[in-house]
Amino acid sequence: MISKTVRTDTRKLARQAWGNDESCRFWCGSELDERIKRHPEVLAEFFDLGSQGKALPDPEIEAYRAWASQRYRGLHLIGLGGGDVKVRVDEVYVPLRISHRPELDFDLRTGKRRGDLARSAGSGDIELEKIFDPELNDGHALIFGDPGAGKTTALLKLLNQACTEGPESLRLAEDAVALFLPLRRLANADLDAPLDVHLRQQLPERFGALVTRLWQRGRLVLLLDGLDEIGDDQRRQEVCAYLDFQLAGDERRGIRAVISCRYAGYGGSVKLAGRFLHLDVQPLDAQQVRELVQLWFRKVQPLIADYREGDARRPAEALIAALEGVGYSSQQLKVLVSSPLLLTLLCVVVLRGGEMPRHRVTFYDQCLRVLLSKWSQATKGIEPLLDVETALAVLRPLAWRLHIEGRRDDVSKAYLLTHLRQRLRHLAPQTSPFRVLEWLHRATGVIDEYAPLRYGFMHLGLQEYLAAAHVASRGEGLLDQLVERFGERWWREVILLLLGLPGQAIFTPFLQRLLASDAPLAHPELLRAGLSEAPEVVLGPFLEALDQTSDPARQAAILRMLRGRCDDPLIARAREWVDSDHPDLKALARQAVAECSGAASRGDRTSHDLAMLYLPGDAAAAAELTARLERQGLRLLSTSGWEADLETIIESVQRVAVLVGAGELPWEHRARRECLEYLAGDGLQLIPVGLPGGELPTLPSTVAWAPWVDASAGLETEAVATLGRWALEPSSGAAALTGQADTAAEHRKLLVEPRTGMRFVWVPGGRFRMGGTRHDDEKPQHWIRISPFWLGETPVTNAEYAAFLEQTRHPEPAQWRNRDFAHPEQPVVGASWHDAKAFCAWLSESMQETARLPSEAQWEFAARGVDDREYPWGNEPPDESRACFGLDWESDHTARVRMRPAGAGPFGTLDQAGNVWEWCQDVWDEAAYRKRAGREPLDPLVTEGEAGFRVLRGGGWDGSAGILRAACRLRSLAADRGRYIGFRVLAAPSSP
Amino acid sequence: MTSTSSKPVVISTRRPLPLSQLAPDDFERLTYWLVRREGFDGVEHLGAAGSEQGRDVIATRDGLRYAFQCKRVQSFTAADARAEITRVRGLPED
Repeated sequence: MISKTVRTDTRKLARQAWGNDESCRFWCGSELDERIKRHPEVLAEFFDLGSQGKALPDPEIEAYRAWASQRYRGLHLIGLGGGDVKVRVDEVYVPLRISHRPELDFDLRTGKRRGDLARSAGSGDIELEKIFDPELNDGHALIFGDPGAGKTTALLKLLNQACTEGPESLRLAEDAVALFLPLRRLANADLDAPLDVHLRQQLPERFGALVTRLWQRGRLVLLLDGLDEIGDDQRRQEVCAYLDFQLAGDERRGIRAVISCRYAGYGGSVKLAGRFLHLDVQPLDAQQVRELVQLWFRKVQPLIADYREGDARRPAEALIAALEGVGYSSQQLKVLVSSPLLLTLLCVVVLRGGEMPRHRVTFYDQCLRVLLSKWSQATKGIEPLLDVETALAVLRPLAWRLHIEGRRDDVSKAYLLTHLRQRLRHLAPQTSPFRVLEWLHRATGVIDEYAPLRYGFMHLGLQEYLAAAHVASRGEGLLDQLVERFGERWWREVILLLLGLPGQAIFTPFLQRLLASDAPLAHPELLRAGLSEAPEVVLGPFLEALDQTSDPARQAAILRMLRGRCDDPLIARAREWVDSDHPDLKALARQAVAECSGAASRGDRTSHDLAMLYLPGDAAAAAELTARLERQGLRLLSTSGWEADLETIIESVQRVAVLVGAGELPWEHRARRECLEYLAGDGLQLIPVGLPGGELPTLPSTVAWAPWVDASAGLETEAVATLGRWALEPSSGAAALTGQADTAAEHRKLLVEPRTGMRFVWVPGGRFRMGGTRHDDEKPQHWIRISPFWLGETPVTNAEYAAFLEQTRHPEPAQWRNRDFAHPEQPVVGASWHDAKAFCAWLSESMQETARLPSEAQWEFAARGVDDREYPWGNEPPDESRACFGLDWESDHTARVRMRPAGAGPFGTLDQAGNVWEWCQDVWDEAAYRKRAGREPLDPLVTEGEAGFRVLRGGGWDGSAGILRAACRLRSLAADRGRYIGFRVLAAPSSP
Repeated sequence: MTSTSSKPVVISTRRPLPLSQLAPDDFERLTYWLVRREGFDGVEHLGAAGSEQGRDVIATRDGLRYAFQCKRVQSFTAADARAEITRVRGLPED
């Protein structure tokens, strides 16, 4: 072969050199060029073509791929015996659902809009294999998920696929190389060294030079697993900075990183700055649950000696039937089985004949017992070395110690043996620690060997559960240490699991310590999450804490934590604060009193909200007032038959309005005065109402009156509204009458939908100025008239949506099985505009009113009332007591509804600002306001605008203060099922 | 294969390839890969020892043995070609 520098006719040269001998060929000049160019990968290897060419297989790379596909092909299938039983990743891999988490389009700091939600790639599912698809992602990826969600499995799946099917199957360069690194290795590593130094340590020495060469060359896929497993927050922050530095400017070199992390391990100061596509590993859906159960039992069958063909199918089918039956229909249980780890544990337990666990702690407990029991080792003919209780007594303190030291899977053999020797000395003196370690690893699989002679618990979840169980087993001894660590991410699961343990022995002392610390103020969400894990919440420690503090903020924090409980001692304390100067405490106390007295008097003598007593001469005014109040939704007993109706009044109401007109005074007649005295004596509350044309005369002192409702100048709205509020005011009566449009929740008139218990507040019609001045789409401000309607007191909750799903089999919303969003009292998120419409249609079936989404104008009126306020509660800037906002997009979530009564709107709506964005009926039209300004339309609704887009209102949990303004508008695609979107229902009165 | 290749040369595929700018080792490696991609089996790069014998790369195809010799020269005549081939033909069969 001859280089092109001699541009010669090759056939001519051959003829000249060797006559017609066919055995000689010359490739030279342009022919050589053409031959080379026929092979782009050859061309690319030797000449820089930019991205046009493909590179050649490199023998060293081939060797690495062959090694890696063997090394990482196996997954432990929990419950199938010991540490050396593995199954192939692709054999048990149920494709996980991964979804793109769009960045919210508001600048969280300034509240200014950056674009719109629809511009981001949406919130739909993405196949794992497509996360490097150039159209989706040209940078790195960050995969979030809960413990046991399958994050590591996802990374191993990527590695496996890159090594066996080739990187091009992942839309990567043909010669790209995937490397796996558990990030916990960086917990104590030298962060001054370049990343290839740490990557090399994961591989056999013979690949050392390759890794360094690849690091310099580029075209690498770094699969960096478990950022959260670096226990120390500060260190995790340093590792993030290190990774950012190491990965910086790598577009050129083509280094792509995929980092996995638990939700709780990221956010706040722990952030990666580089270009990361944020992805969520979604909990398993119903179909995936079925697939995983079937796969698991199919794998287990050949591994169990006396299992016959078909034996595996029966328990699998029985389990699937049970999971889809009524016993497991609650959202909380669905959340549990939608974690691949917990579902696998469930398979183990069911196979063993155990009872189906219903709480996370029982999942772990039963699974450990199965793994450590004789059964799990029967397949190998091994007799258990320790009985289950002894084994647990050995493992618990080990887990605690490892957790305290922030260790995970790099525990040396000597360390383990030392621990085992200490424990066995007391528990089983005859047993060799060497044999116990061997048994724990090989036979039970509870301890895994992660690298040669480096061990750790099979799953971090088990370590956390055992650490929690250790704390519980030690009485109060370790509680102080745990209180000190409260709020540290590394300890979150341990604390949640501890609170979830059965029995009160730990709950009370732990809560006493926590409530005496700053925890309730510093980490209220964690404490609330812990309380919802607890099998039973004992009130004692909370009452003690309330009695020991005079700090209203702390009292408010504790009241908020216990919202919804109606224990007498708690309500007695709340009553003391209904007039507190601290607005948050006052609102919470009033809410507690209102909710509980409502509960107590339900079914009591409250078939009507108010009796109205008048003299026959005032019948016309009484009729008008009655009509007005009934339009507010009040149930009235209106009568001029004082003595005749006395018994009915006593039986039907707790409150009586006495109308005082211009003529005779009601109490001037002795029999009527005695009526009033009798009613007051029976515990009813009386209020005098001055009718138009009259004055406000002196009241008879034999009756304790509420302050006058002065309608003497006319039955204008405010006086009527005041009376309406008083009628519904459940507690001490007079308090409701002070202040105009007070935000306290107890003033509202409620409509309760029977199937869901959903509560609606009455929004009387009115005229208001809609819009704002901040953004173009809020301009111009313009006058609108609104007819009265009922509006959901809160956004639709998970509990309410669950009733809908159960009855209609409508598809589950996107976040339905996500633990962070699945509390019954959290607003439902991940329901599209169409889902919301379907919900409304369903709700209408059981109501006289018509349920639908509010229009933008109705929504804004309910939030602003008639006084042009900026936020539902008024004009004060948002704070944590009024709205759920400004939380971390990565690690936080929605709040339960009704937690912030201080943020109630003028008509009693809650959570209107913050928590979730709420769908409105309107089609998005940026210019809608300009088109209708000046006309003062009645109940405007935009039906034409940008096709596919609908209006969102209210701001979300992750938004800034700026977007909580009631005038702020946002648009999104009607199909958007984002985790920041919920909705609220409007009920249109049947006869407006 | 170890990483001995020099910095690749930027080229346009529409123009003649700048083979002269490749390092000697790379030119031989290029030959090796070209032969492989041209469909020969059992391709071996003989390196320095082979080069002395006038064979840089050997391979087989359809039961026949092939020897490849690389030359980068400014001028190359039929006589030069004949001399090279005679050298290869003179080697014992192995």
